[in-house]
Amino acid sequence: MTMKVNKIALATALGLGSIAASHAQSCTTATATHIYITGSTAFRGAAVAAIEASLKPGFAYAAYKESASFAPYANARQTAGYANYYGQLAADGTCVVIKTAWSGSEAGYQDMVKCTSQKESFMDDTIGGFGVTSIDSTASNPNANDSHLVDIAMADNSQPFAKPASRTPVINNICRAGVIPFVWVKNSQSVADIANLPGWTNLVNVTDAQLRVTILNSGSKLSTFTGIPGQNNYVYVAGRDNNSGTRNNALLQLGFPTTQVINQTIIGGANGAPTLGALGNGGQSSGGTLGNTMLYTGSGSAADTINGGTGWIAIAYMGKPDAITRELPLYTAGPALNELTLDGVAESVTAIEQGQYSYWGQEYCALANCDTLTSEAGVLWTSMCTAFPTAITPGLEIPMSAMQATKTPDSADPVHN
Amino acid sequence: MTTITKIAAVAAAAGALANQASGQFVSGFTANQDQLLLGITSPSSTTDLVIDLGTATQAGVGGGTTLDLNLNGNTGLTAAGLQSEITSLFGGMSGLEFGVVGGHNVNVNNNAIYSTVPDGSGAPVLGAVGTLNSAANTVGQGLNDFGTGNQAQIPNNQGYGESWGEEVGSPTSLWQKNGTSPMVGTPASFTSGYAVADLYGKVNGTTVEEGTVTLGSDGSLFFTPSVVPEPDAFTLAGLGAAALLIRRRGATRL
Repeated sequence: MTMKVNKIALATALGLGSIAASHAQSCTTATATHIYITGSTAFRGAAVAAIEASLKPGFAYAAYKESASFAPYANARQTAGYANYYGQLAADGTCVVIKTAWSGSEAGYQDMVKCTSQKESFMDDTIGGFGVTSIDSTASNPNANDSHLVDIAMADNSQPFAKPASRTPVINNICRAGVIPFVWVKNSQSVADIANLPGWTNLVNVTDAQLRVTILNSGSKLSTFTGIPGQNNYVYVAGRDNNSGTRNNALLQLGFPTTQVINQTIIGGANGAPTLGALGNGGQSSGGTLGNTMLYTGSGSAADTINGGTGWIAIAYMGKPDAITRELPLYTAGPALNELTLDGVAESVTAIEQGQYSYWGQEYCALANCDTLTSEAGVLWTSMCTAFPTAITPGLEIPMSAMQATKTPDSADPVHN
Repeated sequence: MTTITKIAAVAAAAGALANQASGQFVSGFTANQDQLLLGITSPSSTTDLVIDLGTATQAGVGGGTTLDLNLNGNTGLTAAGLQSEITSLFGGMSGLEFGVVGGHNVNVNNNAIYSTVPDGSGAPVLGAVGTLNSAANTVGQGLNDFGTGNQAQIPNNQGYGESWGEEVGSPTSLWQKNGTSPMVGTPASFTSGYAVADLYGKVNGTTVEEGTVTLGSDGSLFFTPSVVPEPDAFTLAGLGAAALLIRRRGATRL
């Protein structure tokens, strides 16, 4: 009798299993619900982990523009610029194709408030697929032919600090995903560069006042930062364009509105022969690209095409996830980026949690008002918001529950609870 | 030049410029081009009016004649139109504050910043040019975000950070933390006459008076370059003497 019952139970289980398997196998790109996600590049590692936590095991993916060095992330795809996911939502089993194109916080907010009209480019359905072997690639994303409205966006700052055009309508469904740390770094130099510009080694700390002057004016002389007379080479800020939440938080930390027009450079040229772009309000569209250009050695020996002379230094504001993969000990392909202390405080999880270090932002996950909570995008958004506390990578992001300090609002200095 | 002399020069020029051809006013703000922004606000208003007057050169800086900034197309409005817009925003021309700022910042050897101050108050303190230029550029960005053509009505109480008051016009603004306030008041009862501001330029580190900006209660707006007064005064005196001489000679003939 018992054996018979067990057999029935086993048969039932097998039957249910086969039903589930056949359901998974029945998913097709033609019939699956498509969900589109954009926004913060800095927090994409945690966002990717939250997406995957919201899917049933066995999903497939195709991820492009990954960083070659991705530790301490668990997976290279957490650094991808573009990805397609093919799977089923864990919450209700719905077949879904989830597409990500990380474009910056402000671009994400634009996608949210213009959810009826603002389309972005994603990889089309021919890249990867249900049952297709997953793809990890550092190559550029192919077939970005799927131009589509966006359902979910990540942002490094709250909506009231977004661009004026993105502050209305108010987004109905938005959750706080965690805290994203940011850092200031100085550019890489070869041994020969340092010999030409030895003062580079003295640059170890930046203050708010130094940064305010440097980012608004024509750079600042190195002596401003080091206090050592006669260091007349200029230090310039290299940064992000105004679609960036990293930039927004840098400006807020310095006491500016996120709309402040600044004077920063875009590094060009190549490793060994970097060039200075004319100062202006523009910047790099991704933290990864900014980080890669900051890795170019040679500025210690290169012409200063802004203020004249030879030898210059670039400092940049970056998301911790983009910076750490280009710093020692993780980056060993050449001279690494060097993190600077801010107002004498080194970035660390503890320093942020306690409010000692102030350059960080609260991460937000928004569901477009065009989607309801009961839509599949809404179901995914709810799952992601639930998953964030465990989706973060220690050292790169911080769960809200661990924070002992708060910034209210985003422009405020951190206050210990 | 005294205020009375400046106003007299403007009043004289107004008639002479009556048939002046309209120029081309700027459509949209471009940073770092020395575009001069006219900001107008009042203590009780939650909106600032910002008008891009074009580049310093287009607004008459360095020129030789008084320029009617309405007729020349710099404001994009007639005097009556400007007065009407100001009145609809602030309830009238009285008790307003206005100022003009602008500049560019390429490097430590190629930069400029312009600022008005109340007439006769002397050269303003103009600190780090890049910082002041950023304030002006951010207002210009607000013009692009909130406006059409060369002007915008920008809310100053919404925390956008792009209004005249937030960046330039208030004591806590970035501009006024790094330089003298560019704001000039109109009289408490401004139903006739002019309010005059001196425009200074700090070009590559050297500060000079560039001229005067004159706002009339009727919405007229003039720029008179500093180089105009003395030659004009001499010219006028010469013309007057010549006219008297001709008249006397004519009278003699009669």
